[in-house]
Amino acid sequence: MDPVYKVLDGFIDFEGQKLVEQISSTCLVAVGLVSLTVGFALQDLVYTLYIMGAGLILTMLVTVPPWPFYNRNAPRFLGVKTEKDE
Amino acid sequence: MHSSSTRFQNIFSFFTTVAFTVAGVIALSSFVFPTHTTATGSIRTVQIAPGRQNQYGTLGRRQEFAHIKFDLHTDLTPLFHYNTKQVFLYLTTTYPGDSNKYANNTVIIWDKIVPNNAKSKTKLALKNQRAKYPFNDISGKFASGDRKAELRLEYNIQPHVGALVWGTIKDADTGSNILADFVLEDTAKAIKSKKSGKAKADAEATKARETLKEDL
Repeated sequence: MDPVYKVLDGFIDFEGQKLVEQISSTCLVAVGLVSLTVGFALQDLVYTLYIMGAGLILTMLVTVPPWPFYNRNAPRFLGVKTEKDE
Repeated sequence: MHSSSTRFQNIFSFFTTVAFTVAGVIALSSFVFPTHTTATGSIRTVQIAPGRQNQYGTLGRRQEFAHIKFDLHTDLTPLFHYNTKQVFLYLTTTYPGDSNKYANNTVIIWDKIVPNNAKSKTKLALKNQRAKYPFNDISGKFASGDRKAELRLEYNIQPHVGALVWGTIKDADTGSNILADFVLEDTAKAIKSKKSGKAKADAEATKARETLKEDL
């Protein structure tokens, strides 16, 4: 079951988490602004709705799955201490 | 943001915040658009007749009904913008009635829902339009005495997001809220007497012409 859990959990490293935070907030705010402007300019709220929906799906696709570039900075742990070292 | 599920939840939660803010801005932006319109309206005929209204399958009590026919011209285009779902338009009549009991009366005699789509007409030109709803006094009989009534055209803008907006369309000529003043009295008699008078005049004119011809 380990590989299944690995896919479902989708763990990413600390740098990756920081990146996800930045990408998702900027993308969603941008989507909101664009949808507002387009809806107002074309005088039709349907565009606002569709742009918001599409923006959410795209942001989710980029940030939710554990893409490899979120796992480039794996934390380095100290080696196991043995009696010899002391 | 360590696992996929927390990322999904956090991003969706931030999305709801963004969506709510967008909706708020849209709601506020609808106040930017001016809603100034004018209308002209007049009463064609008023007919007052006793009758019984069908109420939930049984006949209501016998009472006086005013049957009104009116003209109405207005351009609703300024009420429509990107946040307008539909406009509810209604014509109200206010009249004094019995000064002791029911002094101020307002009755909706006609209404219309104008949805915001390409098909609907935003310019209205109604001629000799019959009132949609029965118009009767609460006491069953229109009080004798002061029967001066006023006609107003009011609207309710129903938006996609935001607050409902109520308003009254002003008269094109006077700029007041009242489109027309009229008296809640049977106009049929007055028209009849006018018609007979006209017939009389016509007969006299033809007679005069004939005598003229004879003279020639």
